[in-house]
Amino acid sequence: MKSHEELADYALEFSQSNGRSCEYAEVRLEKNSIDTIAFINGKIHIGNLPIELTSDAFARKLGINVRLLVDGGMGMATTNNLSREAVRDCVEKAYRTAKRSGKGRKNPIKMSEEIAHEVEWQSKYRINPMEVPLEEKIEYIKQFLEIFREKYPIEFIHFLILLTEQRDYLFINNEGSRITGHVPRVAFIPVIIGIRSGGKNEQSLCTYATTAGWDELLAWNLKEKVKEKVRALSDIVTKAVKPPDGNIDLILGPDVAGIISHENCGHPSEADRILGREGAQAGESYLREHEIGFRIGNECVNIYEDPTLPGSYGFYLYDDEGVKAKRRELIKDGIFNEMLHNRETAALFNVQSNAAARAIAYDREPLVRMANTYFAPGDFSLEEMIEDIKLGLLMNSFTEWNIDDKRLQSKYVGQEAYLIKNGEITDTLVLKPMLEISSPGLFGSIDAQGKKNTIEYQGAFCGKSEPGQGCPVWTGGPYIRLRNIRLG
Amino acid sequence: MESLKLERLSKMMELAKKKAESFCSDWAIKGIARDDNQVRFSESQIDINKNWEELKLELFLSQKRRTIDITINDLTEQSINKTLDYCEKLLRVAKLNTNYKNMPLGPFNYDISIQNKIFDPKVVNFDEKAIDLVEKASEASLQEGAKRVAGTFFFGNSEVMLINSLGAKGSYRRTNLNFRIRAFAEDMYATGEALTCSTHLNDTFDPIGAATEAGSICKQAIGGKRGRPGIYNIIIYPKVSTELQAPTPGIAMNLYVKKMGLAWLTGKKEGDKIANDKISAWDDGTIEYGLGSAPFDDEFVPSQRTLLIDKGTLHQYFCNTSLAKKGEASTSNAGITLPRPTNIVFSTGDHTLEELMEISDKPTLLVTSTWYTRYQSYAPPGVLSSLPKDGLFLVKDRGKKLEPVRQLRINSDHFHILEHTTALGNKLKQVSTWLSPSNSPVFAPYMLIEDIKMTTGTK
Repeated sequence: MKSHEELADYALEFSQSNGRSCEYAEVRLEKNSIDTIAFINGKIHIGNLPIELTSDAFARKLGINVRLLVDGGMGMATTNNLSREAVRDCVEKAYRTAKRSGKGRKNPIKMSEEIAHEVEWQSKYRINPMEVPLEEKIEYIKQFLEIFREKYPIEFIHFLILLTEQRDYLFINNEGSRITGHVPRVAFIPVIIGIRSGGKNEQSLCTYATTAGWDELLAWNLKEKVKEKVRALSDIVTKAVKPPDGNIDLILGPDVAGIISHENCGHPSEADRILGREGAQAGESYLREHEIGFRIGNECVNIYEDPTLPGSYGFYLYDDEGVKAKRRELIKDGIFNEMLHNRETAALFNVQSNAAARAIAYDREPLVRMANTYFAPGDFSLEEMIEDIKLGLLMNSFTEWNIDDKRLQSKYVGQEAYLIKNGEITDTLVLKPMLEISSPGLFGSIDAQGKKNTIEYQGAFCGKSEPGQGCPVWTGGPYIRLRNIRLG
Repeated sequence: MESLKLERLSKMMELAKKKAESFCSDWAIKGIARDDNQVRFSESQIDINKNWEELKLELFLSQKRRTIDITINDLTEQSINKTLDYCEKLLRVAKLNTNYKNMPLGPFNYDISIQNKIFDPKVVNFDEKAIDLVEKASEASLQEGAKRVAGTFFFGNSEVMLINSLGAKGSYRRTNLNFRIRAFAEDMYATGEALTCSTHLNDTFDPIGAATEAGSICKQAIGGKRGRPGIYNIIIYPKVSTELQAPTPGIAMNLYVKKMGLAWLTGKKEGDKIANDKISAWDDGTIEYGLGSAPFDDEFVPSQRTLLIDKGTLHQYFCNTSLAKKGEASTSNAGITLPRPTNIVFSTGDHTLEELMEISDKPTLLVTSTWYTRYQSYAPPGVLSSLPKDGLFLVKDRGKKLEPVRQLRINSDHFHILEHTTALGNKLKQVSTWLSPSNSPVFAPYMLIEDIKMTTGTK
């Protein structure tokens, strides 16, 4: 990529020449390499995936993105033709369309003022997953196949995916920023469907993902975790009983807490949704009707967002507008405390950007995105959370979920869920308990969050925008307790 | 497309070909040159105007039935060579792909008229006019009653060039237009969405009509109350079928997906009843103005119209040459390696939307859009839920009155949905949405689905 850096400089210089006048100009030269190896029911598959987890699952991408703010209008043009002529053409297109876009705007787009950085950053790792020999990757996946050779009372369909990737980029803008970033990522994604003859079935999809290198993935000893998951699926299909009627207390495990922090808090806190900019794509936000300071849940509820979590799947130190990353406190003591901003939304709210602008490749626009969203730890051990529950459920994982486009009405169907009776977790598995609840109803039902040592994170690809950008993130949290819930 | 770009693409394909020939027994190289644009707008203003100029290669490589496919967008000579060296190494380690047999030998007869059905020179260089069009359409929606609008207008053109190790060579051009608008009332929960898409700038592409429809739906949705959970008949707009009906022919009837066991038709074979008698569905790569139409697939098999569901009976899965049964031909659905749908086309019935509302004799909801369809499992019967997003209406007095409702969720499964789709509208509309499970364009009418469970939040 180094050899093309002068083209990026040329693009920026050209955007400021020939009488062109841009309020803001940025150029991103970016290279993405993605390798995917999958074993589908034991058979190796090397290449793009038949199911869509992320676009271009086996690909090499390199190109330039030019984004210009001219007369209050924004234009973006991208090319992977790395010649001076193509880059000039790219700048001219971005400039022309930005100028025309600005003409009809009542409110000219502005960018928040930010410090310019000249910096090189990368995630900390020992072994780059992209450099691991193919044979080793194949052997890694093969160890999981042994799990399915054991005897179970049900059949399994299994799809084991190992996704390794590397992002390298150079970001420059007309304010003097010059940032290079390097992040290799690895994710192991087992998709497992347990089926009993007669049709009863249960499906699980987990994403174990990190930026801390291949050695970190190996250290997680995932074989045991996947083995436990397979056993649990078998038990769910063969033994689970109907969920209880009436109101109960509910304890949600870190996986479920994580998805809730992402869907019910992270997305609605994105300032572009609040402003309506995603109105026709990922949707808006119920927080559009509220201001910072609005009570959203009980005092014990704290949800944070932190791109700088070491080893996290959503790790970055500078966002794709060159702003230094930091932790964001979205809900603090039950109060809507902070939005996620890029420079455009920050300017509208008259605040500084908190570095939430992300793009997944050179051909995508940087948008307001989450990185790693999680419930902050509380003061309770799991035992303390359970001890006074007369009738309840411990929902460790989830299967189907969805949420409306304002992020107000959500549904989470439990997967591995155990009945709690008289302060004890029983062996009774409960079949597909359905939590269908509004965001305020949910955050207003939480009365306890688990201690720090129970926090776990799960990798995910967060979808947003059009064309879609599946952004790598972590979601997580400790156990959380919800009181007085009626299952759907 | 500029000749310089195509020359460069040809050069890169030639480079990849030379390299592939040195270690592959079979190979196919698809070169794509695209020039796409998007105008994104919200709050009734243009947010950004984007242009993508891209050349890319999609490669299928096989060495003694060990296979790999890769997308290369980094078209530097060094990268192509390095990537193919890497692929050679991968092929040495890869195991036998028992799903791969060979590429079809032909010879084939092609319908050259398809080229004109999918390419409109007026779409090329449309960029300056695009913003005018968005502004006019936005105004139409505001006139209809919206307070603000958001949406996207995609348009562009591409040239596809294909070569393979059997010496076959071919190319085609395609244009695309996709306009989607969402209208919002003062009450932010009263919204309406509509879309229009085509390959041609003619009466099949109607952004003003879509904008007016979105504005009208949003106006009618004002004041909606939380709906009551229960069992309803639902009447769906064509685009909702991309979430509820189209995934069956578009995903589950892909023979590769079925073989993997990743679809709800596992265990179903040709001749099995899977849908109401009213439902027939085709994969049709030849349909005029179809965004998925092309003269041939990635194995040079001429595009065709393939019957998938025949009056409720599973007629045939779609496949490529490798997956076709012994003695049978490909259905012309080859992607560079795996089968993929072209355009999914449903049968029509004989009802207008008003008639569908009139014949529904149970509590009925009119569903104008849904999103976020998610599965409990891909295994049979494909249990899912989907969220009505924009205007949702309780149909009263057999359609004479529509009462806006909110906060209801569709809970069903694909078997139930197909079996209970009992009446169809009399017109097909092309719909291509960005978030639905089936990515392919769909031609669908309004549909009446009986006995759908609707739920709502408990707190």
